[in-house]
Amino acid sequence: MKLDINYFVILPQIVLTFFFLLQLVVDAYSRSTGRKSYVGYLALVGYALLAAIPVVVWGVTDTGFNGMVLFDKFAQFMDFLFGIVGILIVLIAPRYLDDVGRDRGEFYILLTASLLGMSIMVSTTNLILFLIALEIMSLAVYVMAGFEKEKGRSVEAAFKYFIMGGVASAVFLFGVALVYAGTGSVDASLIAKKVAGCKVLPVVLGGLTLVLAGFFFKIAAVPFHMWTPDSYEGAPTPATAFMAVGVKAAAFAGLMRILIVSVKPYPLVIEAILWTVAFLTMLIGNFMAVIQDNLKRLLAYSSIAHAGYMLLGLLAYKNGGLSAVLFYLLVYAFADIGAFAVLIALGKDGEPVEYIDQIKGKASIHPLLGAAMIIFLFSLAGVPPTAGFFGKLFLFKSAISAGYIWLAVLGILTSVVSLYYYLRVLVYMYMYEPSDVVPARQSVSVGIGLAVMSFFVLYLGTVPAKFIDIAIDALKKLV
Amino acid sequence: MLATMLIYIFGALAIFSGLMMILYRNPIHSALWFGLVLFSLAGIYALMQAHFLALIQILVYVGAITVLIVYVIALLNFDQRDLVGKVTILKGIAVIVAAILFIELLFYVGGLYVKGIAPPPEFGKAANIGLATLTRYLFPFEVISILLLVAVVGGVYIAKKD
Repeated sequence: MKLDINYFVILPQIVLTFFFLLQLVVDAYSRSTGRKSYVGYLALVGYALLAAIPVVVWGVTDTGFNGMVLFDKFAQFMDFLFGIVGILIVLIAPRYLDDVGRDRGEFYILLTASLLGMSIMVSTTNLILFLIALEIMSLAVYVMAGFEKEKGRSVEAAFKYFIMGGVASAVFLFGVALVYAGTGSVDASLIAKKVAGCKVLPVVLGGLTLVLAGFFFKIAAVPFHMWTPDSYEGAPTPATAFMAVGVKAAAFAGLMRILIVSVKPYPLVIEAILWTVAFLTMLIGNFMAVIQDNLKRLLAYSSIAHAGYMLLGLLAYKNGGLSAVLFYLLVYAFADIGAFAVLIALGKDGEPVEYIDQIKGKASIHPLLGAAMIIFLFSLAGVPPTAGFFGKLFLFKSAISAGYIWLAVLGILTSVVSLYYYLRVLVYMYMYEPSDVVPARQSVSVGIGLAVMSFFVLYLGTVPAKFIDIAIDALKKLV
Repeated sequence: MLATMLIYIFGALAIFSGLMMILYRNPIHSALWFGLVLFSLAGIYALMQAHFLALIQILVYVGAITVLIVYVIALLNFDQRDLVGKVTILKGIAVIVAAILFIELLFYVGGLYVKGIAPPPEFGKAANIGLATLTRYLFPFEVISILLLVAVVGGVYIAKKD
């Protein structure tokens, strides 16, 4: 077999690897000379490039390394999303890390590494390469979750995530082994050829089920969600935001690529599994969020619920469900990171915001933060005219036209439930007297981040058609 | 004939030592039984023409991983009385779920026994593995280096006092 080296298709990965290594060297150098490390700025440049590459080369597609790496519109769309998520996390992270006295360059280095893993994940159908990339992403995120390593809860978060993640990876790998045993291939596109036309071997179905279980863990779907609240609560808030948005987006993209390419149409078992998991995830995620007093736990359960909504789109892949998921991921990224960013902005030195009591009456001291929180939470709940409304509309519409009417009804009903707990946060912010009137420290970068995110939540809500068209375009080759 | 017999012997050994690994209360003993599991797997690999993999299995898993596990157990230095397990409802559920999973897997793999795909004759030779890692699997091979680097960076950050 000949070498098929194609530097164009791994351009995003080359950029990220370059910045990853550069950050390592710069951080080590500035540490040894006792200067403040500026790796955060390097990260910004790197992620801006990551987001810019797809915009520049949009539509120029190629494959390389003997079909191992696909640089198609889907990968480009996801690279763009990852770049944006990375930039937003870098904007909100310094303030929090400063508050808890952990402003260390490693955070951005690990962030770059995990983005690198994600960007490889979304550009391959080869399960071995996918698993390696998944591990790069996960290892970096485990450490980010335990970044406040002197704080017990942060370590607990990291440890739980690590143990459960390790088991999930093992299950995933076992599934890949079974799929290989049944089809003789580890490439989803070749698996599809083996599966198509003939009856699917039980061993392949079993393998795919285990692969699905690995994915469900990463997207925090019920019943693989047990680690989520604890890990999200204990992890540093910017890391939590990244886990809730970045990791979930990468896992969903991988799920789309692998599942849709390898088994289309779904065998009955896979469809039943997706149906059940979507049902439980929407139900349990939303109802558990109602009883939370810890805001990070609340957002954790809400992120579980959102995974449930997006699973609807995966089920309805024939009726535009996938493009709805891509659009939803984009909207969800802005709104969810935004909500976490407001928590960060309200925090004080050594006293980050976690409990709902801590934000009592804060809107009267910080009217702009209050307004931003309204926008983000309304978008998460799906209230028009925010982008979240259209995200849910597209998802439910595709689910209904694909015949999953009961799931769509459940989705709409649980969205009403979600309105209760999102509004409760706003009631605490607006309707109570503030317990102390000392305003929180201002931070320029968080301010910029919040402005950008609120703008996009509203902008995506005004012209959703434009972006849904891009999402449909990105998926043309996949479906 | 001999090969078939050896496969059964190694397979039985793997299952037996696997059981011993979870049945022994002393973790050091469990770790050593685990080493035997990995060793018998190496034997099976060797019988399935994967000589290189068998060697690596012994070098890395039996040689390094088992020793590492033994070291960790020795360093933890915990009280054996803490290890006495209690029977709880959760454990009962876990046993049931594991049993269901086991039966399902038997069903899946059982179907494969007749329709299995035989490996190509040159399968598992060191030369072929070398060729594969440097041609078809060049990119994953390179990406693994990033994985190791990330693990090092993360490990150093977590472990270092500052």
